[in-house]
Amino acid sequence: MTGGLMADPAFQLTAGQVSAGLQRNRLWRLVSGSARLRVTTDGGRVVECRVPLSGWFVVPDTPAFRMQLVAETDVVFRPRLDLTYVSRLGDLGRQQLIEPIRNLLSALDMNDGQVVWSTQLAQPQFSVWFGRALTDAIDTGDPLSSQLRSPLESQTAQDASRLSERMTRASALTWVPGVIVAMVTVVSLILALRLRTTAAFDLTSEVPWIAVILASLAAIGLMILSRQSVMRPAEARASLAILLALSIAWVGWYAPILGLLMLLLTAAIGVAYVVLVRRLLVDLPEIYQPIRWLSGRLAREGVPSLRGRLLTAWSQMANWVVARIELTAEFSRLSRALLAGSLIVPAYAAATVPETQMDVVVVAMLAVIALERMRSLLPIDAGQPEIETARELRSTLTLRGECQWDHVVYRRHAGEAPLFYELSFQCPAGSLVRITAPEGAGLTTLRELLVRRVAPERGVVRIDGMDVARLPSLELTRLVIGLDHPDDGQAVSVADWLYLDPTVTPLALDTHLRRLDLIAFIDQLSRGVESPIGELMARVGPLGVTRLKLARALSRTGAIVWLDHWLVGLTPVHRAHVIDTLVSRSGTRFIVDRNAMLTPFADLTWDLSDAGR
Amino acid sequence: MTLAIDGLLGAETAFDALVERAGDLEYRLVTRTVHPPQAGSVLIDRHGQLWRVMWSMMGWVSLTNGASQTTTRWWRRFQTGQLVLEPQQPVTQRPIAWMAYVLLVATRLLLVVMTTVMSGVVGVETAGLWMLVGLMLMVAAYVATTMIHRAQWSTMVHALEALTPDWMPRLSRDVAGPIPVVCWIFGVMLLDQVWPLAPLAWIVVGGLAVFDLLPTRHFRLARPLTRQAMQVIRGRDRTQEARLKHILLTHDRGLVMCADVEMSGLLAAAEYWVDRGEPITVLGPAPEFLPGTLRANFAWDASDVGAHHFSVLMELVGLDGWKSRFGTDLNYQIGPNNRGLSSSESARLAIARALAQGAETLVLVDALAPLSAVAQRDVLRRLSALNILVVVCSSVQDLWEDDGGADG
Repeated sequence: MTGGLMADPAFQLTAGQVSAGLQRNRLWRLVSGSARLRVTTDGGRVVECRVPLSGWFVVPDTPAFRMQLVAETDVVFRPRLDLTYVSRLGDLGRQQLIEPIRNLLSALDMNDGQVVWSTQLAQPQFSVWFGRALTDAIDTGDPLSSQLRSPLESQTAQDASRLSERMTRASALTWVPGVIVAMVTVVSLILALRLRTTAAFDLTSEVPWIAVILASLAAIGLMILSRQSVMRPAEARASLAILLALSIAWVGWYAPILGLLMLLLTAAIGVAYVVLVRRLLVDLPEIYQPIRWLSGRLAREGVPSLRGRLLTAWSQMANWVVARIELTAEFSRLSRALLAGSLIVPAYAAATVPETQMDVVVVAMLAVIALERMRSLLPIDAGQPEIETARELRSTLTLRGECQWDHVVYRRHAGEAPLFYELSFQCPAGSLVRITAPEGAGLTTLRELLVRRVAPERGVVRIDGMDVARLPSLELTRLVIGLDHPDDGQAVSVADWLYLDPTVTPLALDTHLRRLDLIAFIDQLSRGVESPIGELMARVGPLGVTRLKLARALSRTGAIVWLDHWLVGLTPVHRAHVIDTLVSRSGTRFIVDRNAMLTPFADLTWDLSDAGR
Repeated sequence: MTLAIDGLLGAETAFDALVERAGDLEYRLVTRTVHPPQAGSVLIDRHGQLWRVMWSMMGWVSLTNGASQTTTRWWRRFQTGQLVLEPQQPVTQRPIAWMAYVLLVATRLLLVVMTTVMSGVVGVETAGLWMLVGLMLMVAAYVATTMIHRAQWSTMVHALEALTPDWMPRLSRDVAGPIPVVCWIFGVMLLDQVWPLAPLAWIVVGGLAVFDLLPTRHFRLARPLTRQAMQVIRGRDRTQEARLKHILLTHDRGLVMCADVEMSGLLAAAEYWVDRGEPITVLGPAPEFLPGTLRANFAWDASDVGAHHFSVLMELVGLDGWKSRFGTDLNYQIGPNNRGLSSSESARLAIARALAQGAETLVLVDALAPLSAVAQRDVLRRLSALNILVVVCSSVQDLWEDDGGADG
């Protein structure tokens, strides 16, 4: 019983008949009639379930069981889709598959609580995962896992996943010490001030010392919180919120009206923030990209009529910039005014409470200051990207560099002619592979297949014999050396950008920067390598950026190099240096070479002229 | 101009870039070794950090940097003997900002006096008075902040010129900090001599002093400038400018191949002449298409570009299979960062777009880099048949056969 995607043959059974084994890794449909699915596991266990009303059912690619169709009436059924294509279905199509899958799992008494089906069905490697996860779950009796188990997985993805979880937990817990400090600070301050006004303060020698210790504790706490608000503003918000809440509670205990007033003013600032910043500001149109685009066009477009229209668009854009500024300024004005109004709380307390309750005045003032800090820590601008997270998640995966594309079929869109049809290529580790291809032949896609940014429709891409579908894509993107680095967007300074990859060595980098005539640009920077990366990019210009990327790529050590568009802005001298370096370095090197520059040095030539059909 | 300078400092602009803009900002470059520079001057310290002088007095200078950090230094020890960018007109004070601060201080004094006067008076009848004072405080704060913001509006034109949307108005550290705090405490102590304040009123006085010492919010000003705007920082290459101008003056059509030219310099020179009003279109190695349809990118205002016109253009740039690739209705969607176009298609389409929009002089600085040398030569041959001037420079120029083009 076979059925291809294009052929879609129909099969028939009369009532009471049982089909032969259904073809695996397929989505099937019962076109007419009523039937049950019979699942026979390796252990001889037989379970049955009804085919859902929609008629769809899935036959996974697993050797752990065999599926048959038992006809209750005369039925017609046909295979409809290879499960490899499931990720390419629309949201609605994928959603319709959840019921039949869960129906089958339920019949097998399998727990799928760990699996988010809508996410899993959208993964390019869904069919591979589904088959293997089912096999594992049946073998071990464990719930169906959303992660595949393999020795490699434990080294890479699972480690990264665990590390990520640890970091998430860590970041979730970093606010706890701050909150404790805030609580200790308020309590110490109140106790110190209370002790100061007790009779025992003058009568005994111990009480003043205790008061001093408590006051010191409060002062240290305030210093810590102040430092935290500068160094770790995100966590400081929780500490300040506790400080504010405790302060307001203490003031409210003695003077409920003042506590209520303080609470109202805090709420008013919160409302102003939500309305002006979180609602209105974010509703303004995204203007960064048009600004960049207009800036680039204006710099290079001199045709008067077109330039006039560009300038008109530029001035219209200015209105949106003013709107952003004005909204932020309004929040600043309004919140400052409300804050100024809150000063009435400690002042009223100072005028009305007896001197023995000076703690109420101090705590009321503390509440106002905490409110001001909270206000200034509310996020308005985008802030700095968190580069550390990405750096922590380094891979332990090591590659040798043997690569294989095995009968790969890939098409950009369903229904189109394939970009690659039965594409096969293999190279041993350490090869220098010269790639030639006509324009638009899909060189970028070829690399994306290697790093699993896209999945083939059919066929397998392997590195060192391992199917890349089982390797984490982000790690592969980092490990395959190219001009761009997946973490480029996170670099703030020149040093961040140059040393984004831990394998870059200063000596090699210095050599390549000198040979590509870039070192002078770095010397001219206002703060050397600590300058913003934008400043260096601005100095070298678009033609120098490729040289910079080349210098960084050539300084990295790794098993696989993939270079495309590497000639931009190179002089013949630079080009000779790059070719020399590429020829002499180790690892597998895929170099796109349309000008036959690497012909004498290449171990293999990969011509993609006839890659599609 | 102080805020324009602050914006550039906040963007971590290089000192030489500031010097380049000195004329526009009414600044000049001077040497200050003995006498401290006047307020508003910009200087670079021995660590390469830029500072703006807020005030100078008796050899001391108070400085602020792009991160709103302030410091006060003895000039003779601080100065490194090099150049200082000094305003042509001294920027001594910010009268409006200080007036706003005085308004705030006046209402604060009122609050302290009120605390003393009403000391021990508890009753519902006083509530109205307290509310009135509270309202006065709120209005004074709103007005003071508005005054400072509005004072910045006049120089915000510089931010708008650069279109920097994360440029935010802020209360400058110039109008707070330790000195006003000392003045505030000292002033209240004087008041206390004349009119003794209630003991608990001092808590309010101290709290207000802490207020002024708290660090103000710092926005990373003009970040897009730092990341993107190239022309602010890049230096000029006058030789290349002159050479390009010479080509533009001596040729009106045909293909001019520039051999032995430093490409970055040529690109900068071309951008310089665009900025000076030359009707040329410059194409570099990274063409940018706005996300949207091909039609929108070509027709600009969604005006129609006929299929025939487009067909001719595609033939000119050598995109023969455009109909099957993009469709004849030109509604092919281009995503962000040219997604949906291969690099060679982007390069060819950028030239077609320039031609569609009436370019008569094209300067191509490695604009065909994604194409092979042979394909580049083919495109240039087609372009040379047009009645336009094409100035071209490529990284694989040495691989071309001699086509007999003029050497600029």
